[in-house]
Amino acid sequence: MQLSKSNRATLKIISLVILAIALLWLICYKYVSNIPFQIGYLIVANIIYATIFKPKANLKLWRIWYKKMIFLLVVNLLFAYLDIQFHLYDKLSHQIDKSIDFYHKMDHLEYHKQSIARIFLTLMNTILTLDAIILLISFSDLVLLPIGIEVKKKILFFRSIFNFLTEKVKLNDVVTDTIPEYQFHSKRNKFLDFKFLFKRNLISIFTMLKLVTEQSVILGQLIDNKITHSNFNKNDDKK
Amino acid sequence: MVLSILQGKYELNPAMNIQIQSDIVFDYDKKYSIRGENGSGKSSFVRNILYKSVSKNCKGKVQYIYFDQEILSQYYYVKAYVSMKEHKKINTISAFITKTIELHKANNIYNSNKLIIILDETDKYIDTTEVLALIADYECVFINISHSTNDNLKYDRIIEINKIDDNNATLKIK
Repeated sequence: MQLSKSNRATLKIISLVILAIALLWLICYKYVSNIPFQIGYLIVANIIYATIFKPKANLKLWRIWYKKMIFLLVVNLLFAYLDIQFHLYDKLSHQIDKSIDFYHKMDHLEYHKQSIARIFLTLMNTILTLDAIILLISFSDLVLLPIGIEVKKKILFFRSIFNFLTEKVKLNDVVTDTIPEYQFHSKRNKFLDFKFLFKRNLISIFTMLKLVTEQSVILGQLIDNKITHSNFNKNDDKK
Repeated sequence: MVLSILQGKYELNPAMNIQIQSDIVFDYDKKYSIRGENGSGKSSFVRNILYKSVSKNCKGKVQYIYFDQEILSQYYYVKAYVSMKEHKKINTISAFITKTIELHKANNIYNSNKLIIILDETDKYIDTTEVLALIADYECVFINISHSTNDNLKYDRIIEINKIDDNNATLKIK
């Protein structure tokens, strides 16, 4: 029995969604505290990602996320220094009592080290999994889905925005160097001047928001126009 | 000489290489035009080779301004900066180009009248002569990519990029 294109696309998307749920359940729930599993998953996921989408895409993903990871690491180290426990994560993994016992028995720094490793690995594994699953669902798969146009156009819209954000938006040196103040700032001072970093990053966030909202309007209109246009064509064919 | 790019083979993007046939030397008070067909790799050359060279060799020494062909990110970046810093609005790309040049004039920390300016098809938004009027006080390396060949500007050098096939291009200086 041969499946129609539409059924094949539906089957592909359903399988990928089930796969995503299963993997996220493993990463974020079942083995959330299992560091060796998380490390193993990270290695395997990276190899698979680089094989399917080429090593450059994998590197790009890491390049996008490494600064956020460093930021997360700094915040968590601060938590460790102030000796704040992560009860929320322990609640999620149903290990609150064990964790508190564990916390009292072991060295505080060791507890925080494990927490930081867990947060970093869980987050990176989730990002890799979701990114791979989203990229595996192509535009043509979405168009072929047997669902109403109202829902379909929203899915297409979010997929287009995701593409725009990952492919087109580059807030790199070309962009920041446009401002003379940032061009002149020596690299040595950059890391010490928090006010400078805060302002520059705030401007980057504003730029990103503006680009996304602007692009949303353009893409939304474009998708609506295409739907209207193809409906007119269909009506013309019927006449 | 402010900047030079040595002859040789360079990667424009993962799919395309460019063969620069002789050393390119950029001097102050000179205008350079980069020309070539659509898709020949002009913008890639400017973004991936020329801009990187400027950024590497001139950062901290000489002011430079580069308007990329994909100008929207730069536009919104400057727009956000100006609205935060000066509580003013920029509503058009031509106003953004003017404002960026004015910002560079106002923040002249090297106390120098030297400037490198690279325009990638900004003539879609603003007349190139207007840009030249704004930077008239500077001793400038002026590099322009433009599709229009009758922009009434006298260039000192024409840099021509020609596509040989899907993966290769050559660069010649006239």
